[in-house]
Amino acid sequence: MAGIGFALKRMFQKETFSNRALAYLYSSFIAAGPWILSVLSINILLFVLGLINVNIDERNLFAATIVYSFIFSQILVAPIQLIITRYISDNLYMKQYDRIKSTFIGANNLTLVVSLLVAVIFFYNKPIPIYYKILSTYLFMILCMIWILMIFLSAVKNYQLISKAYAVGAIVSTILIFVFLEYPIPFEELTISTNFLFSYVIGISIIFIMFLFNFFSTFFKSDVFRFDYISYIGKYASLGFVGFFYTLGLWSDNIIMWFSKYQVSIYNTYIFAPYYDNAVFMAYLTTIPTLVLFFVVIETDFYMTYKNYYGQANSGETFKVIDLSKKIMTRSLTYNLVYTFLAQALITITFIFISRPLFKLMNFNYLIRDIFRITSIGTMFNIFAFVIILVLLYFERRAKAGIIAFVFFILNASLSYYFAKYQPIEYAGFGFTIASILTFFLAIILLSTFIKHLHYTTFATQPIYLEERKDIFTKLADKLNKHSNHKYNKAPKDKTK
Amino acid sequence: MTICMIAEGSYPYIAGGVSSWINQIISSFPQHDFKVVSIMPSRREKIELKYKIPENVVNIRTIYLDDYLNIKHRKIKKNPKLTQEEKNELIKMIRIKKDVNWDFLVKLFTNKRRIGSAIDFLQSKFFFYETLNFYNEKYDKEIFNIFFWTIRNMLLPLIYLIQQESEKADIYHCASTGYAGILATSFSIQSNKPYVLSEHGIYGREREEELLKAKWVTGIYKKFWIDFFYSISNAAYNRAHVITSLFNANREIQIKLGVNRKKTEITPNGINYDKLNVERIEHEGINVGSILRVVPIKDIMTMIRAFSIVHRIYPDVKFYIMGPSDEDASYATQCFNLVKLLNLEDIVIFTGRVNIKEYLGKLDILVLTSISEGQPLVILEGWAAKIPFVSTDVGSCRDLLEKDNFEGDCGLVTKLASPSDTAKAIIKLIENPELRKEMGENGLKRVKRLYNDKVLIKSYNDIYNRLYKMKLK
Repeated sequence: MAGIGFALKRMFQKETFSNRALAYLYSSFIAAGPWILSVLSINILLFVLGLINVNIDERNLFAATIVYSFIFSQILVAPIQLIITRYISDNLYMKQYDRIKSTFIGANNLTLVVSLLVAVIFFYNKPIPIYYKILSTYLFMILCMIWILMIFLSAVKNYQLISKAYAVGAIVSTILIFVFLEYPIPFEELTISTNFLFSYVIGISIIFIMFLFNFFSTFFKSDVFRFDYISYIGKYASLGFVGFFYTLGLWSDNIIMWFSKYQVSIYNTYIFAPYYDNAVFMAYLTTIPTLVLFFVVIETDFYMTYKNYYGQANSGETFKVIDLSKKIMTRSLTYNLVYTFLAQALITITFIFISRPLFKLMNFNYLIRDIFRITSIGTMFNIFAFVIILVLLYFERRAKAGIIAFVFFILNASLSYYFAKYQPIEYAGFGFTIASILTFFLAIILLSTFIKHLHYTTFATQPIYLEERKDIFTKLADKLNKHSNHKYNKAPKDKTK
Repeated sequence: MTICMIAEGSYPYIAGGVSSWINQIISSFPQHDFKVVSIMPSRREKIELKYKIPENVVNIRTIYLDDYLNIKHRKIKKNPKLTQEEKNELIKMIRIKKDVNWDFLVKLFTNKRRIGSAIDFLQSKFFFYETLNFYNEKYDKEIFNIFFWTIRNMLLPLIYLIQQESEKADIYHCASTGYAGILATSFSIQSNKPYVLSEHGIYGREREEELLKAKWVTGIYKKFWIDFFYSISNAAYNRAHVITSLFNANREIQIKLGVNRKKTEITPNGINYDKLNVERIEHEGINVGSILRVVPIKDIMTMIRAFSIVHRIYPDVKFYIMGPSDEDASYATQCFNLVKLLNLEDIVIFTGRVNIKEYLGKLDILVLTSISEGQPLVILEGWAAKIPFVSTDVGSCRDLLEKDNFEGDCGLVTKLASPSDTAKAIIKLIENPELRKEMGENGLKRVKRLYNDKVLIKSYNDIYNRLYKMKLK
């Protein structure tokens, strides 16, 4: 008699389980790169400028140009940053090295167009000389490209080059600032700030050229799939969401402060809140140890237990064994988180205590000191939340990471607005700090519920089979690829003739 | 009235006893409209119609078991809130219990807003933790990954079938339990219309036999799959309003498996013997034939070996193996190779699919060596042409062939998988022309009396009319 019992055989044999997660291990950490470098650069710059006795307005104009370029270039790149990171690690995993260069070219072209457009709109009716506008636009665009390049260089772990390039760039800029201070280029207006900007742009360009040179010598081959990464926008929209809202959240208190009673307007071009901005930038500086520390412990200790757990879940082990390796992994994660958090708390508390003599030494306003004290508590919790976001991305929990990023943005924007508008000046920074603390607790709750149901997530929420996706981004990528394919296909034919 | 005929792995794409029977039923009721629902294993295998579809078939709907691959992973309902009763039944299902209340579960699963798609359920926390509990209680030495995926793979096509949108009809007629049975159960519950189950073999038993031999499933999972097929068979046994079998032995098995005796009925196969009552054609020597699909269950290897023994004594006897060999190509190749190996190429002839009417007149003996049969139509067809039968003792073959109060023997019964026994029976018939004639005539008498299509049609006419009038709550 007829039956289909045997047809089940094939289904039975098809076990699907993704252990690709391993390939994405490092990628999530790259997200912090540009942010660290921005904070470092701005702080160094503010410090150097503090030593120089020049026209305060021109100095502020220059500082504002730098701050704006850093903040907005990051917000602009944030949505695609994690997506491209993911795309690159996928391709490195699959050993499709040829695709890396093409992707860079594709991503870079897109960023160039968008950043140019944004800069032109911003500067269009601003009352500053055209050469200053051009230099600022150039700075903005080159920063965007640097962030994009950094994704690629970090993906191949070229950290040494990154730090070397930054050091060279910073030194060249600083020297040039002092040189041009003595022998300024005679611009008609805003001579000092234009000279500063010019020096700075040269330093940044050196960084960019070093990056670019290194990139092209690492990835010299390319294929024609320049826009393939766009298909990832549909697949990993949540990554874009995480990057965008976290970055936006990170700067939203500053932007809100610019529109508050702390506002200072410079040449009717930039508005900013120098006291608040300076304080927050310095507060962020105190959190760099957490990132470095956590990066190290994750890479050494936690990674092993993580690999072990997924390896066993994926292979022929009994549940008891798998459960044991989950416990070991959880213990490692908890230990490392607590350890990092305690270390950071110690650093933050120390900074708060020494802030009085330190700020006196640096000749900073007491208001900056007060904001620094409160916001360094905020940045501490903020970096904790960020670390938890990274851990969740490690486990491919993009939705949860997205929730944390989004909640942080909403809380920071609304609380900062509330404190700036309805509370006296002494409460500056409270909005950001409270938002960060709340976000941290949300992150802790989401992480622990996830860990509680880790086995469930590992075994039961993987897609049961692969679905073919045909969303708008995939179609767009196909179309653009086909277009560039077309161009490329013609070339070799002509040669053969 | 409209009757929805539901079949699994057979009509209209795969030829065989059940398929021919379905075609016969549909053709016999031109006054009714038929909707055919055919469950096939996979879209990857090309299918073609193997029957000329009668005109009263208004619709053929093919459901591929692996079409669950088209369900989207987008959640309809994530982690649904379930009542304790629902949880209890679902837990029974996960634990592959035989006493699952399928009616209840069908109602639950067909309410997608309540429980979501098959994938939603199989990705839910409830499913994961209940499977884990099941594992921890008895099977914690097994590889968890395999355990979990086995249960999942078992339930995925099942829930997918249950969630199929019902085909509108007045009566659901299903040709087996198993997947077809559960689909018919779901349709019958969704539309609140009666349901008749015509079981040819006993589905659960057949799957059990297959699985015990199968190499793709090992250890505890053999029992899981066997229990699973018995369990889903109960869905049909409970819901169907009339349950027929071909002969009494099968009816008793159904009752043993839990079918209410009052619902059972015996409806033997029936053929139109006039159509097959062909003129005998004079010919030299003896022609032995076998009408079948070249598939392992027919045990053609044994048959070929038996032919080889006969050939050594009667080198002039010719053997015709008639029927398609495309269903299981690798088995067919093995058979062809065996024929070559035994140097029987000249006397064992694989005719492929043929019109048997053209051959019946020239055949003297028909043979079956199946390891499993219900009530083979070919035996009845052979008798219509007054041809005696040699068959293994499977299904109802012994009842068919041995003498009763009305006729003498109509053929010879042999042991399973025994080439020598089958050969002995063939030789006995070759050597006794009188016996051949007598048995052939007995056969014709028996077909006329018991296995006549008028009896069959009347039985189903009664069942259809009775069910049509049946008012369901």
